[in-house]
Amino acid sequence: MDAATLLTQVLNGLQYGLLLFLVASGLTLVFGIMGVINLAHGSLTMVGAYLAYAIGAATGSLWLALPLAVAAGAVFGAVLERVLIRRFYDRAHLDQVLLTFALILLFEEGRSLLVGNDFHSVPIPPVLDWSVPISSIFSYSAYRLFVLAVCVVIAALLFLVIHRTRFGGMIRASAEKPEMVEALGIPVSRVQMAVFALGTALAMLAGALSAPLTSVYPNMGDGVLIVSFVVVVIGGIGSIAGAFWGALLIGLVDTLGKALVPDLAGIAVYVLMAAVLLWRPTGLFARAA
Amino acid sequence: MSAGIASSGTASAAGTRATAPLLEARAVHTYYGASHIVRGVDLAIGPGETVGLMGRNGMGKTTLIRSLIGLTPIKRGSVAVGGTDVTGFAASRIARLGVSYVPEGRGIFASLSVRENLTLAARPGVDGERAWTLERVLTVFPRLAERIGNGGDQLSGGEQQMLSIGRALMTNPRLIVLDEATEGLAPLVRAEIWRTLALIRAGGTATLIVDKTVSAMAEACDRILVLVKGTVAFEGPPATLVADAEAMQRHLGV
Ligand SMILES: Nc1ncnc2c1ncn2[C@@H]1O[C@H](COP(=O)(O)OP(=O)(O)OP(=O)(O)O)[C@@H](O)[C@H]1O
Ligand SMILES: [Mg+2]
Repeated sequence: MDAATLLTQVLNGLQYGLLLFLVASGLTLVFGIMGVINLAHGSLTMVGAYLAYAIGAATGSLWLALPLAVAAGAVFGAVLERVLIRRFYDRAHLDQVLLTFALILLFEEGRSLLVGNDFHSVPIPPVLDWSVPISSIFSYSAYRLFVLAVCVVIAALLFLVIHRTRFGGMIRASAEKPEMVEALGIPVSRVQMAVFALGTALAMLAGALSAPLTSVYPNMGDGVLIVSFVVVVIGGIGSIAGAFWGALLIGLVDTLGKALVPDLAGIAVYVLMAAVLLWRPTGLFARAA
Repeated sequence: MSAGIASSGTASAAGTRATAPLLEARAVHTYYGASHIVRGVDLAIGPGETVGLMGRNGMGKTTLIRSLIGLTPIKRGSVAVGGTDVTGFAASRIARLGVSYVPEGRGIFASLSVRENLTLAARPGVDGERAWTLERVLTVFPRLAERIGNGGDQLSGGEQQMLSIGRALMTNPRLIVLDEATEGLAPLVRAEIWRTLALIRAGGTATLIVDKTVSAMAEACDRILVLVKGTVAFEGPPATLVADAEAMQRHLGV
């Protein structure tokens, strides 16, 4: 493999990893704070991707789809939490799994009714549909660079919000001692709703961003969900920093693995997970109990 | 109205009913599953009053406190704060009526810095005043000023306790509920905690203190209640309790 191909694969891996981070960060926050295993989290990326497809088809442009995926995701997530998820915080994990599995079926059925079961490609916005010449022998997709940049900005913002703002303090405190947060006069239920809304918005944004790269198709969220769970487990449940580094690691290992050792493509990620868990059973960034 | 309240005379802000106790619990019963822990407790705390709650291990002091502030649901009875019936309210709503909590074990957020712990729930009191600011808390607890950037998990036990009290003060409460705030601390640190409680009392903030140190409680409190198996076995001025050697032995084991 020549240098240009390798560099392309590394950038692809980073970009895939950063998209994974958008999905896994919500998953890890929701699990870390509310203790809910949300199987429908991957499906939310599917919803975001189809939203991008529908808006692209209606307006001929992807631009509106990105802010709309965030806004619609926040509202949808808040409603979902209020109406359904909240009732399951005190229930067994099996009940939560059943509920969120039912949500996957609902979302997919809704998708089937509204848009059908075909594959659809989503065009890259014309302004970004070109290759950026990075050196004389190497150029890289402008849209992929755009995705990379958006994800980096969002990751930085998320990190700032969680570690530098009062709201972020409430999120961290609620993950740790929800009763104490409540006793100080902060309604934990609002924090939970906000976290779920945030996670949904990020997942739908990730779906919308990746739509032009992957096309949209039925059950496209399933694979995302599984890999995101791997990220969460590797990074340490509830840890945003863990989700970030775990996602980059998985993105790179998966992408480079497929390029370098195609025979092992499917299992590289799981081998990595097993290795990390043998070394650190609670993940890379788990807080000491 | 319960006549037993030793009203301290610190008149509350105009507009609130001067006769209404700050906190009033009537016939409170609390269960953990089938175990009947709090068995019909009546308790009233007037504005600015310092009330002590004593009793041997496992008599239900913590459970009673948690029932009052909404952390543990009560099965029967009622709780009112500042004349508002708060029975069944979420703990956060009760806290916003001016009740703050320093729990057993201190409840410090380990993943937050000292500053974040203090400012997380900072707000003016129900009267709109900010008597307690970060500066004032740090003046009262200079040790916390030195540790302001440290994580909550990097503090000694005494520092954690100061942080827990400072955090409660930052909500500018009308009533602070402290559960075993001096437990497990070195004598000098205990003395500092008691001095702080005296300062809070002098500032006109009411406190409900759970503690096992009889001498310090006798000095700090206007009134003491002794809990035996979830019921109030004694209620009165500290002097009366201390003078009753037989009750002291029977209820407190001292
Ligand atoms: N979460 C719980 N579930 C079931 N039983 C509990 C629970 N918490 C406390 N108990 C029981 O309720 C009783 C009262 O406990 P509580 O903690 O209120 O007592 P306490 O007076 O605060 O004791 P201590 O002085 O040791 O702090 C005890 O018998 C205890 O074992
Ligand atoms: Mg106790």
